[in-house]
Amino acid sequence: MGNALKAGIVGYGYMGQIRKTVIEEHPNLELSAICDANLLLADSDFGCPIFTDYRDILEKDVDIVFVCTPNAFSPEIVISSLNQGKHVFCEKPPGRSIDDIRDIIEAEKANTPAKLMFGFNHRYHPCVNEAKVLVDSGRYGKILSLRGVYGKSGGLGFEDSWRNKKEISGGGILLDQGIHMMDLFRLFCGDFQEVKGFVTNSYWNIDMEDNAFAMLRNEQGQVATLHSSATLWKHTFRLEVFMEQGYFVISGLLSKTGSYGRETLVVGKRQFEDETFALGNPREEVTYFDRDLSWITEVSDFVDCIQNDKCVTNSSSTDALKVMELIGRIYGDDPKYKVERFGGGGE
Amino acid sequence: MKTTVQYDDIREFEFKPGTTLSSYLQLTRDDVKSYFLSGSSLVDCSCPACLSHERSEAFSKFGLNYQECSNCQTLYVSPRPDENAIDEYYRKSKAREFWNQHLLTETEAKRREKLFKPRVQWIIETVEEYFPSAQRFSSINSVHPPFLQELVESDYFKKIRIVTPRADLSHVNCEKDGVQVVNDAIGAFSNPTDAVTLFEVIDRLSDVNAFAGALDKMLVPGGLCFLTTISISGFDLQVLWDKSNSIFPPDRMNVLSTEGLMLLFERHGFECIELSTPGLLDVQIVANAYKENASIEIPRFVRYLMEQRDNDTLQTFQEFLQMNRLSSFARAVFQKK
Repeated sequence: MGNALKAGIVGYGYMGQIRKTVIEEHPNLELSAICDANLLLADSDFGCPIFTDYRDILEKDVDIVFVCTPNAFSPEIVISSLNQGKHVFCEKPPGRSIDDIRDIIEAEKANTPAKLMFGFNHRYHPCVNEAKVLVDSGRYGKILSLRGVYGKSGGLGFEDSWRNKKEISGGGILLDQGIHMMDLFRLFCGDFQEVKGFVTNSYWNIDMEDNAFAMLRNEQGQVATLHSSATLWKHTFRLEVFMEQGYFVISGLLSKTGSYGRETLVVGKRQFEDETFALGNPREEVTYFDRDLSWITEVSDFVDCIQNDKCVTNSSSTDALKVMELIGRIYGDDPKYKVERFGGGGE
Repeated sequence: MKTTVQYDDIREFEFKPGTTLSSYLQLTRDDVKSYFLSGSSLVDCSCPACLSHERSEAFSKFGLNYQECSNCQTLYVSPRPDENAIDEYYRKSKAREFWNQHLLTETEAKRREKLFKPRVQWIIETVEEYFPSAQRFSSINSVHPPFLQELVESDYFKKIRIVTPRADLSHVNCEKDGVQVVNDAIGAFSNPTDAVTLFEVIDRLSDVNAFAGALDKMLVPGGLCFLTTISISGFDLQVLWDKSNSIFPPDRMNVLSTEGLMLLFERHGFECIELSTPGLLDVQIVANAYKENASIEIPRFVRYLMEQRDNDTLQTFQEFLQMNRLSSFARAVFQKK
């Protein structure tokens, strides 16, 4: 543990607990403190000091702060941590609005060399990795279009979650979950210049959207469509990548509960040169993945950036800003559902 | 870890024409007798996969006894000929000569298109994802000219070697393709390697454990081992058992279960990246065997399936086998930690 970085966790909910496991498994990290405003357990339960105020952690000898709090609290904690010279790993989304991420970036710039990374862990899922390798190989030509569906089953207590309280989360299903798919769109196709969106509240009694539909187009003419939903009644993750010489379908996601289904990558090759001979069912190869290494791999990437003084290029603050701008434009494009507080809308 | 399922149209007889295969099996039976059963000493061994001594007698084939491991269900020959005797067999036997001159030649075009092209693609894509700096490649103990040609044409690896003490290399023009030949066992080969292939290699080794140890020394950390083999976890082998034309010595002295395969490589410090059974032929093989000999003993359910259900159902059943690692053709990728 001689060269291990000391890590503190702020926010010990679902994500905080996942991060704790990752920190404990990582050879270059050492858990030094946990903070949660509602934590009633003693230090001995965790093997490290426990605090209820995040400022206490910043006074400690901690190298990295993992910010795992609800959206309303993340920006302040991230900025304070950066101002104290700490490296920061922050869960997505990076706050409730575009202004939040802009403020964070200012603090990042003012506190070089402190590193900052955001938890867009879907980039690190094995099926996404494999698809990205295939796309980058060039063997399938250029990407023509993307189609993504990401949705929740809803369920008992859905309306009561902090994620569905506007003053805490800042946005509904699009900001909570659709943001991952938007991030993957950018991973595969880069930035998008044109944005069209519909944002609806079609079923749940919440003051934010439970469905978002978006169409994006970039300067290369690549089009991506998104359906982010809290009314699919089944946990669903599906990203289709259509290319000149074939297609990939990423579906299911390895998760703690397995509720998104087996993580799968289908690779199909275009099997005709002349449309007359097109096959309705081309040869496909399906790969099933058994182990989710996304959490550990993304943190390893961050640790590598810190220990070897590398720029954060994956899930960086620029990635966070760009994806928040896209989300802002989707909200802003629907006059019936303009989220004033999100800012940066599409007018 | 991951597993891959493939959909394609391949017929059993495309790779193993019936009459040619029968001749090969007959020659093998004769050669096993002259090379291993008359005078040569056979040695008892534990399970090649998990090293367990617990076993039960399975059946006898060509005069050699197959055992079933009670721990991991691997099927293996014991007592068995030693490595020198097997090397001698693969260099000189009539069966091997027949294999090279007939079976390989007659099916070369099909094998190249349907087996080796996809295999080269598989290797390159996996290397790109898991060890992108790999440049030094070695094919161990097996020589498949169409595979090597595909690999050379891909221009992916800077250095390609064949490392083998036993194969007849007369039918391979390595110089033309810039492939280096090391005529030795891998234990004696000291140059570090980034990626190796073992195509149907562990099936016919006398000492699998020593081989895996040598492989561990040969590969650099992060190095990849690509492996294909037949697996006793597969449907056609479990159903046909001793009647299977795929189980015979010495080509298939070790028929590992998928569990055994994992135990073998994990014991030697490898991590499994992929374990798939993307076989396409299990159901076809059982159907063909049943067609040729209706009195063959197969479970009632399988008989019902063969007699009453159409090709679509059989195809779906084959896909189920692949999805659940229950086809008898296995492929795996192990990475050295």
